[in-house]
Amino acid sequence: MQNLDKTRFIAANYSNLQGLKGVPMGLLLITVVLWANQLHGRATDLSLPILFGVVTIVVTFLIYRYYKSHFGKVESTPKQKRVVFLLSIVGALVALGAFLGDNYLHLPLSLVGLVFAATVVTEYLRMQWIAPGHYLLPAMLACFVIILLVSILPLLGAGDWWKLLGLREQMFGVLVVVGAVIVAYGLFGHWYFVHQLPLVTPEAKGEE
Amino acid sequence: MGSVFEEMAGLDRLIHEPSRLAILTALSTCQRADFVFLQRITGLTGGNLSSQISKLADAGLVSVEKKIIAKRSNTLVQITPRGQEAIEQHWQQLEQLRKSAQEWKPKS
Repeated sequence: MQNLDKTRFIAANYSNLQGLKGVPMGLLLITVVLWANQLHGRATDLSLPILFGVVTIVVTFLIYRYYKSHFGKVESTPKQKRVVFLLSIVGALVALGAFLGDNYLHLPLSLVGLVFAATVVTEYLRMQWIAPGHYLLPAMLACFVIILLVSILPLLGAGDWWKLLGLREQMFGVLVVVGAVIVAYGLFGHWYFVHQLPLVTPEAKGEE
Repeated sequence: MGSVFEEMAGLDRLIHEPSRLAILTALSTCQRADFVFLQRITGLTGGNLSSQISKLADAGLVSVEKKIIAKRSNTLVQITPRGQEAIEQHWQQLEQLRKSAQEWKPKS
């Protein structure tokens, strides 16, 4: 018999399962951090990060078109849209606070990293709220643990770990890892989604 | 005939057919979905999917809206309140059936 829970999960979380959409964003994060890392003093020429941003927007649009033409379109309910909007606003405000906190408080941990780790948990809970299913739990748990660990590494005695990556600051190190996690999770999400379809097996279709 | 079999016989065959059950289940979690998505999720051919959607629409369980976007037809399918109620009731019946089947023992 077909897996109705999985059908519900995939239809409800369709936009989240379009993993390739996250790849350009993760790569943008990494390239902008690497660009910022080689700066000495204030940036005077912003043409390169602007170019990265434009390329990201174009590629994301093309990926959006790819999903729409190959896998179709699903519209979320108004209630689901309101929750996403609310979480985005709250998340942006908390991230801004964490960014300022990291810049002014100089704590032995990364508040920005902790916000990203909390975002993974929030996203998991949101997905559970729409349609229960632990299908992505191992991947999301791995993302959460990696981001949490790099956020608190100095607390665990591994200070200056970002220098091993050739980066100047803790925030740069955390953001590069977060970018890499976004890329890896995006590729996995796409692979997972594509390999689930179709959800009605040929045997089941032949029952009637 | 035991109660398990009576419950099985009581299932609505219009909804219980696997493809139509998948279509309704998918539509029950979203505002609406297009034809391409329903085709990918069910693996049905275009003609077969059209036929299944027509049956559901005729029963008042889904509504269909056809649009022309950039000279291409785009079919959007939405579950109706009646369809939502029917699929929720069907899941409850399936759950009840699963429990009954676990408890059922043949009379010796």
